[in-house]
Amino acid sequence: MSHYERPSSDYFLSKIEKEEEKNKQGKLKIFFGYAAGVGKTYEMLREAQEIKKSGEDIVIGYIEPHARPETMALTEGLESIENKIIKYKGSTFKEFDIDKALIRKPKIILVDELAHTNARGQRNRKRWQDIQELLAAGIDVYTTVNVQHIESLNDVVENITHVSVRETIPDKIFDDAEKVEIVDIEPDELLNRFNEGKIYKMEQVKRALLNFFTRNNLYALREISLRRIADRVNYEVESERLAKREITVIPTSEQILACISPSPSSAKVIRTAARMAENYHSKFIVLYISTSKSENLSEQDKKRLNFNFNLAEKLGGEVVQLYGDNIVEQIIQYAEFRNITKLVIGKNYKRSSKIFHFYAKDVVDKLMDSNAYIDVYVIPNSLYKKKREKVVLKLNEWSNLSLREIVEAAIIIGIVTGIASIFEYMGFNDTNAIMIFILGVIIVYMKTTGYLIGIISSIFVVLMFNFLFTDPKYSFKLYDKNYLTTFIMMLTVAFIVGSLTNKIQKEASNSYNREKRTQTLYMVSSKLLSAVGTSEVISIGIKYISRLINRTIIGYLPEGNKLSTNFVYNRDKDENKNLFLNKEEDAAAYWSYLNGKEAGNGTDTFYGAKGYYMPIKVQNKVLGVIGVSCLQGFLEPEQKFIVQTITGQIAIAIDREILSSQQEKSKVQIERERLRSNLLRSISHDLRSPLAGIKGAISTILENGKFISEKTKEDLLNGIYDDTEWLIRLVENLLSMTKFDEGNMEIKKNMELVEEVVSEAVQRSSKYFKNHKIKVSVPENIIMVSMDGNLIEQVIINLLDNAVKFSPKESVIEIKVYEKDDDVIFQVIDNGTGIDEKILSNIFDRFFTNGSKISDSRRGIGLGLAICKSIVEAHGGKITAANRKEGGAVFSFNIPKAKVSSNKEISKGGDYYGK
Amino acid sequence: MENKPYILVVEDDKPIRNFITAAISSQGYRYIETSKGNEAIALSMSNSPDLIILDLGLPDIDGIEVISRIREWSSVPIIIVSARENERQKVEALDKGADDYLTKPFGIGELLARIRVSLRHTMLNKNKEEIIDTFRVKNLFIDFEKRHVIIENKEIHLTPIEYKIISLLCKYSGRVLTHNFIIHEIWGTSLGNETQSLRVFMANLRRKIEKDPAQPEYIYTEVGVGYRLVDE
Repeated sequence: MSHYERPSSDYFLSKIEKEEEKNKQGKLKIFFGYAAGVGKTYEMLREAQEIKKSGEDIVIGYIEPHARPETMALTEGLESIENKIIKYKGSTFKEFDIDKALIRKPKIILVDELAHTNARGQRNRKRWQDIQELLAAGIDVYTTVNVQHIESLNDVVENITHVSVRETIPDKIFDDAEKVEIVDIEPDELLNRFNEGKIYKMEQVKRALLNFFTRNNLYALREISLRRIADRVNYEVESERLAKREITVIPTSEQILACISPSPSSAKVIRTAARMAENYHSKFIVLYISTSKSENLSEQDKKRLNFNFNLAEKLGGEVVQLYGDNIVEQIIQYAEFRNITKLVIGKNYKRSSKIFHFYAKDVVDKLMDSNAYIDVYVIPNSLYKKKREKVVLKLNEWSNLSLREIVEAAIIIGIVTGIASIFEYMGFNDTNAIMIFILGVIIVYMKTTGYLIGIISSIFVVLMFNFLFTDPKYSFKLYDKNYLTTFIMMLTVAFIVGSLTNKIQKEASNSYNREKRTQTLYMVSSKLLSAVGTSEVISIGIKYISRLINRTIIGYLPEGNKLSTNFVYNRDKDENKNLFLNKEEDAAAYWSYLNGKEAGNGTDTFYGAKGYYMPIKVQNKVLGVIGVSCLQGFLEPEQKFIVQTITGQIAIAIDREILSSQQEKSKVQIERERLRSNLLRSISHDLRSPLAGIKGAISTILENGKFISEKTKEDLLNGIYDDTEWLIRLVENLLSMTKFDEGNMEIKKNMELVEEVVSEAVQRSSKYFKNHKIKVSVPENIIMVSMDGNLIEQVIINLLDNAVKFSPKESVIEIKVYEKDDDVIFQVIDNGTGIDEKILSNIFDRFFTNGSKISDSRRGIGLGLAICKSIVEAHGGKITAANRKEGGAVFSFNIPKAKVSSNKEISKGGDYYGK
Repeated sequence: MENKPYILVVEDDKPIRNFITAAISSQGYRYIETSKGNEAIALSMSNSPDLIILDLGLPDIDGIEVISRIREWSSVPIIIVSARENERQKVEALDKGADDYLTKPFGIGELLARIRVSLRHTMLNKNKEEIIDTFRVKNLFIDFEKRHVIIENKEIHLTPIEYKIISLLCKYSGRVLTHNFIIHEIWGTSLGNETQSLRVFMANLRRKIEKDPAQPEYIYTEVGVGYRLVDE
């Protein structure tokens, strides 16, 4: 009875999210079979024809040319998307054209062969990636695949059939498919079909296929595929029942750890761990221990390690990389740290001929000693041997020679030999000489990288010792056989101590490097915390990424629909800046942005690009893209990890910036709303009085007209007239205000004569200045300034209105205009009561009213002066108020003059005054 | 006048229409009213009014369109009524053939004054045989024959352009003349930039004619639209 792991709330949450996402995503239906020829494509096409009859928009994306004529016949009548023709190395390929499919956007599309590898020239390496894009665009997809293409079953199938299948699909694609329909057929019948040439044309049949299509194989494959389908069904049923509480669970938590190396057999270890994790409904972790020797891995090894990491991630595992030379210790410590319950390890965990190594047995033994809770699974290599590369470690050593080190070594040995000679000359015991020689060798080891120079020095030193010290002196012959042991001991000691020192040095320098890296990462995160603005965030981010991994980095931020590239941090100043600025790189970066997945060099999409592109993601929003130059080689896992870490921090910082600017906008919105509601409230409140007055007066006249005197009637009517004037001015002020509130002030500036604007203002408002004298002073010369005539009139009227409110009857109100430097100054001067010092600084605020009673109870909403301020400031001027010594107040504002002097343009006739 | 003037009122807002028609009838004019532009066009054709008061903000058709259509066959004076802010609309209407304008909200005084001015000019135009050789308003007197301009009994000297301007204003006294119209009449072109020059000429003219140029008695500025000479 297997243990059920109780799904956590996270699981259900993610399920709900997935459900919601599913609605936008297209649905995938897989026609699944256990071998070629069972009839998957036939079945798919048959169903397609039926669907077409019911009127759905179903289209053929790509159908692999089939030997069976009946299958090809079923394509008749179905619209087909034109294939893309790709020419590569002399051959022509017909491939599925994904872009055309995305443009066509049918409801359902048929794409054969889920596991197909695309030809070079397609942006995605694999067809299943193309299909993912189609699903993301909301298109339903029907496809076909065989059991041997499923990643986690790959090695199992290989073991059975002895046919290596390279084209695989990740299990996730299979498991996440909406429907999987198994197309089944008796193996005997399939064999018949094969032998009759109905599956492959006889000429195409190669030896491998003959090995494949045997009865045993087919039966086994069929069983595997049926079981895989059953697993799928089981899991779904299980979670349904768990959700409905039909079964209870016993909480257990298995944790699986797979230990890998660059060797190819690690792939098998990973797949096994993945299958186990599937069975136990748990996660698995893939652990790689990087030793000091890992720096010297060959290109092949690095690539394979990368492949293993990618495989682990594809299968849903967590990849962890640790450093240390004592691998066994590290594994055990980590296993305890993560509460591992099952350990998966390869048999020849480390194949090497050196002394400091251990075998899988060691790990098991040690584990047995330390604790009894961890099960260990040792995976043997597959029976099918792949070609292996020769041991290249030594080759690496050879290639790391540097002239400087050779010279250094030579000098050291020379010095040491010299000292030894002196000892000899002074008659010291030859043990001293031995020690000096050993010392010399140790120093050489310390100073050089790699073992090679050290070894040569050891041998050389021994020879020197032989030559100089042993009898017969100055010859390589040996009398005393004891010295032979001495030589061997010297070599051994020198070698051991030397290589230890070497190792310690390397470790020290590694530690130092790692420490530096950690420090830098820490500094990056604190710098990003204090950065302001997305530009700064990205600039800082890419600077540090570049410094840490020593490559040119480019950062992309979105602008509308596209990506803009303003941020490039070059590794060297003279490196080609234009590396990144070509179409293919742009396409890869843009794809990465659109799909939120990595692309470019080293990935499966746009793999021919020169850069590697990682999206900057926060939850599921893509905020930008980071590009890394891969001119010097693909991105190694450790470097990728650094890029990921910093990109993650950049993502958070940018997200924060976006949120804070949104917050700003919200604040402004809220403020605006508040002002607006204040305004509405004020207006409603203040409208009531004049309206009440008007209504009252009119109703009196209407109802009691006969009973009231003519004088009274006239007074009432005048009152109504005044009230309406007040309302009109209010409306005009409000209208002006609406221009401001939209955010952009709509001032239409024209060259206007100052005196005309002033005179019209006075003219229009003459009605309510009946009790006051208005005096206008403008200079003799003509002043023209660029302004919105109506609005400036408004300002003057509002100021006059204000002056009238606070001035006694019959007093003089003066409007003065004059030029001063680059401004035209307008002043409204009254002889009234002046302004209270306390409120002087606030009078231009909106809705600010004096509060106290004004001479003839003229009300005000407090808009007038605020509008004056807005208008004047929109013209680039300032408005002020002050009290006069003589009593009364003066309001001044200035309008800056336009640069062009208007008066110069006049040439036609007439005399005029002016500058 | 034996024949009372016949006025077509086109206004969709009922209270305002009532007010206008009340004002008109108080002067003894005859009138006909409508609230739709298309109807207005039809009525102007069938009834041949002496004056049209036209609101620009009509529901069915743009007021400017109405002016264009009517102007195709008739030179009946048209006074437009428009809202405060729309200078451009006023200028466009005037340039398209309207004769004067009123800004909402307006009082009866303004309304009747505009009507009087327009009707007077129509009369004058009808009697083309009568050549006007003098003009007088308040203390301004112009003798067109002798080309004399007299303010408060003192003759003032004007440059040729200034004289042309003041004559033009007098010819259309009481009516508003747009910048473009004046420029067109005086200089024959209507380049946008020239309005600045016009302003300067007007400013100089005002300094010669007005006692207080900043508070003119004769030449009123309609900011954004044009100029108007007082007529009474």
